[in-house]
Amino acid sequence: MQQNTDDPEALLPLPVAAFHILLALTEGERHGYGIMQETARSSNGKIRLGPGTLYRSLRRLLTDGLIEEVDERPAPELDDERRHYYRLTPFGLRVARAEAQRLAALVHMAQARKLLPQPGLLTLEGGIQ
Amino acid sequence: MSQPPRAARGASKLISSSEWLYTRLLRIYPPSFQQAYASRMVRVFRDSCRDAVRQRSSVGLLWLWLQMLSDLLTNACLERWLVFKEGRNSMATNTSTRLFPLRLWWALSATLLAFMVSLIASFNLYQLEDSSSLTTTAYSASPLLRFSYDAIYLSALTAGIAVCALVGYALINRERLVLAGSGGIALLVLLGGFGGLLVRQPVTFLALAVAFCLLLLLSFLGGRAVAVRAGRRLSTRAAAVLGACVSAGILLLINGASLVLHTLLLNPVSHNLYMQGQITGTHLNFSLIAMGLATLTLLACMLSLGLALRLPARS
Repeated sequence: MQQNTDDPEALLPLPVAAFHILLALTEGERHGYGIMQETARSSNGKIRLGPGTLYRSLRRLLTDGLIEEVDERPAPELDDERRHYYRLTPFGLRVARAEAQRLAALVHMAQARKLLPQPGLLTLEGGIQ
Repeated sequence: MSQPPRAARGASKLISSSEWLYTRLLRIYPPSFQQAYASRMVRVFRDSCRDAVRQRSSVGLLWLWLQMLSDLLTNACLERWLVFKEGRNSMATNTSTRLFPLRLWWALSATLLAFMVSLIASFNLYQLEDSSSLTTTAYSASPLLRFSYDAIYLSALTAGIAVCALVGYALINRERLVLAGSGGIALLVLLGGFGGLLVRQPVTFLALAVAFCLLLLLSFLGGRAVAVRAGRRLSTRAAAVLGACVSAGILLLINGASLVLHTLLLNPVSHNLYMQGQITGTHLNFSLIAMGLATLTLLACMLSLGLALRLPARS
């Protein structure tokens, strides 16, 4: 099913798992396990999607039209051809950007209120001030 | 030299057994979700197992299982809830089907509330009385007190099992699975609830186990009879849920009656003991509050069950 609206803001904020899936797909199409691995790698192991969370999120993203299944299968010698590959749709990319901007705005707000250090300021001890 | 192939065979066997078990466990998801995603989830699980074993051997696999079980339970419950809600919405838009009537929702909620209040009252009483000086002195003065105390304890335990079955029927529309699960839970509750007596006082254990089984049988038969009758008017799942509500209601009624009996018997005895200086205090206030609350919620439960039993026939 395609998205009901063209406005990416209508889908924000995205659930953490959904945003990580979109991030994993920005670099190209991946299969389910590839998304799991990429999510764990990019979050330094802090986010580990289980199969249930992964496929419930994928179903939601498919329904909202943020991702789509890729019809072409890889060559059998390159990968298991039974795997299902997913990729971002243009709308999914817009939603991912909007979510990233929303999070960046939050980070700016936290920095302005001194909850987070300003980027690039280092202390003599080597830590970030 | 034969060690590595043997280890590899062992790991491969572990992975294939895990995969087999995971495939079976996926049945707790709704059928539509299973149909669409079960094979993909099994493939992802298999890949995860291989990685876990490669990185951390069987410890890694154990750790993975812990994560997978939590993922499985959480998402299956969420998915079941979604299906349940969709069923309810379609019922609201198409009242003629009456898959899960509003009165049944009331009965379900009232039963769960009455169970929670009874459970809190029963187990607080257990904590207050068990191994206190009041218990030993008062119970030797009145054997009926001991009887009502055991009745409260046993009916609370068995009501817990009936509520598990109720939740099972509400979430999983598979009778055999719910019955098997309830049987397993009953065994665990029996052993956890008073299994220690098996070593210390085997005769008491046997008596309590018989009473426990009789209570379960009574509630099961009562619930089953209602479910069969209701099946002519309601959908299969609604009838099963109503039957389980009645099962739990029977046990909660016994629990409530025992609680009232216990409070009425305990107060004169404990008052006398208090006046004679044999005990330093009584639990009158707590007993009365617990009894009052349990009776009120029980009345609400009975009323809602009565209304649900009088549901008109499905058109």
